[in-house]
Amino acid sequence: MPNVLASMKKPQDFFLGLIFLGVAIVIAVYSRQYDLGTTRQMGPGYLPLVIALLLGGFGILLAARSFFGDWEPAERLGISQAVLVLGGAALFGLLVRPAGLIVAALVLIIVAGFAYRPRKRLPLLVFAVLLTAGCVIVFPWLLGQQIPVLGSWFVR
Amino acid sequence: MDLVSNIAIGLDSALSWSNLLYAFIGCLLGTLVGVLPGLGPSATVAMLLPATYQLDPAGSLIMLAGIFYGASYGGSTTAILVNLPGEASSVVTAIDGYQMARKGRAGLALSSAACASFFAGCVATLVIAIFAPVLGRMALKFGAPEYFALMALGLIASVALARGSLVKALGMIVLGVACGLVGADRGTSALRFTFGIPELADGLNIIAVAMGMFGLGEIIFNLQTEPAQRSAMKTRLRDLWPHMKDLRAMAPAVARGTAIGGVLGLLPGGGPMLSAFSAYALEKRVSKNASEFGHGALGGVAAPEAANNAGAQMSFIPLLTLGIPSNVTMALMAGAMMMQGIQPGPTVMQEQPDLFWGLVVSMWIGNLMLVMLNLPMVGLWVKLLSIPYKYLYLAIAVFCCIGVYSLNNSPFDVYVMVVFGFVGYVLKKLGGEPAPFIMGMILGPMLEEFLRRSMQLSRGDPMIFLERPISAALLFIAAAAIIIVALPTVAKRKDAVLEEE
Repeated sequence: MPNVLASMKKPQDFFLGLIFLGVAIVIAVYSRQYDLGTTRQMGPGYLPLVIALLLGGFGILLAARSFFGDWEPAERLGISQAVLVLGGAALFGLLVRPAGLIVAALVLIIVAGFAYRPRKRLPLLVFAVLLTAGCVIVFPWLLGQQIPVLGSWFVR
Repeated sequence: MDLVSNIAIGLDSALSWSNLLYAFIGCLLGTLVGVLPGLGPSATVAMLLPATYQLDPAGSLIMLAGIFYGASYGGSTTAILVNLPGEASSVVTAIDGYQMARKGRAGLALSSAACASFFAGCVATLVIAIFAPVLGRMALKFGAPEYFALMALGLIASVALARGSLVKALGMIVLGVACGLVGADRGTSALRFTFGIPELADGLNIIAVAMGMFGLGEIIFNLQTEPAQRSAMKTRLRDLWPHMKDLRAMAPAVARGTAIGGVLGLLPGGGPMLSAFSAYALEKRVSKNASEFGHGALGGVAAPEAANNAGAQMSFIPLLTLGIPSNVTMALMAGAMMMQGIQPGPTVMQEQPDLFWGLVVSMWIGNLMLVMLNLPMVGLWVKLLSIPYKYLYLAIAVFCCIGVYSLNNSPFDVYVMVVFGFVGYVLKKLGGEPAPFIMGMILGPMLEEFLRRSMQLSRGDPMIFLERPISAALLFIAAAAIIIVALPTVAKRKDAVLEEE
């Protein structure tokens, strides 16, 4: 296996091809429970099968092609920024109903804030408070959006 | 005279004080948000969409159109001043606009972008007013096969200018169509790919997905590739108004840009991006001072800006006459219309003429307001650009979360955004662009519906697409487009244009 991978020229294309192929297989397997129908009367399983075939084809083509041509190094897939930014957003979703906008926004800003380095803590805290205050004033108060400022943990 | 009476209806509706106010607020907010780096028109519209829920249908659409124009213009400002295009359509503006700014001609670049946009907007509004009723009547004759062919052409067009390889872009479209499958099937109402999650029965919310891929995904991407210098440079903003000789120099470029944008904007999947790229490529070819391109050519700013705006405006036509959203922003507009109880399509013009013509007239008013608003306020936008990215991205993240939550007041949409933020980030790292993916997701369900209806019509015979002249012609153009793009020489030239930013 290592010597096969070593002759690969475009790792990005190879992995994108693998993803396409993987999704295609999932769709093909999962959509077997849906009625295929006929071309004249297409069932819910008809298009998924067509999509799986197309996507799988593109995936194989892309992966196969990645062994030819000039060498193109892959970019590093930095995970820490992704985890901090997306984790912050997920926490916002978890907290916005029970704890309310104030807590959810503060948590989001502080967690996502550490995705940028170097980061000083005090300015981040000050900014988090200011931005949260601004959001509370603009969105629920001025625009009248149905977003709880304080959630069910604080208000009965 | 039909045209005059139609425009009178529009003026009547758009010139009420409240609607003028909404147009003004929309332009102001749109510019304010759109000028922030990393936030393109579609992200801006998605973020500000909740602000329009409380208004009446005409008011909310007028305000959204204002937001859209404001965001487009704001994006060009950012592209010119800091070389950070918010959306693909302003990438080409950045090429020469930024060079002009570096030479101390930022004021001229900004004002000529505004004037070019305004001119293109006026022409496009007039064209819409004259031709929309004709196209609307034609649209009523469109059957399922024609709709299918038109959407296939749109998807292909959105591939034509995606960066990098054709196979990747096609794969991203199909992946997008696959994600569009989630939820109840429109034809048979069978639940598909819901994995037992009740919230998925209505499908993935397109706005949440777009915000994840364009908003959060973009943030993560930027945090890793942040250029050392992000702050707006100190630039001379005096000499704002173009001189007579500048106007004369850019007039032909603006005219050509408007024409290209007007034609390409009609295509689903086309719109502003395709228009701007093509206008730039053409201008580079025909301009007398072609050697200046890439080093701050006035025509290199004016032509794509005119095309961009004309294309943006013309992309309202497929939405309002056929009910087909031709790009992400139009999909958001369609969503907003449906939330107001209006089904976008050929019937809008007949049943709600005040709404339709009010929107058309307010497009022109929006363009006028942009020029009046932006030229005096350029200094303020420049100030806004000096916010360092380490704070800016946090504000964007919070606005994205609040915006997506407010769509349905549901945390579930926030989770969808998070998941697709990650998906979009990984795919982009591997060279898969989000734009074709989103187009596939928007058009996928409609594509399936019209394919199914066509097949019922023809009793399962695919020849129906070739037997009908309109659909055959559309599919022929799509096939020709894909062959041309696949030709090695064209592919190389396309990459060359895209690389120059």
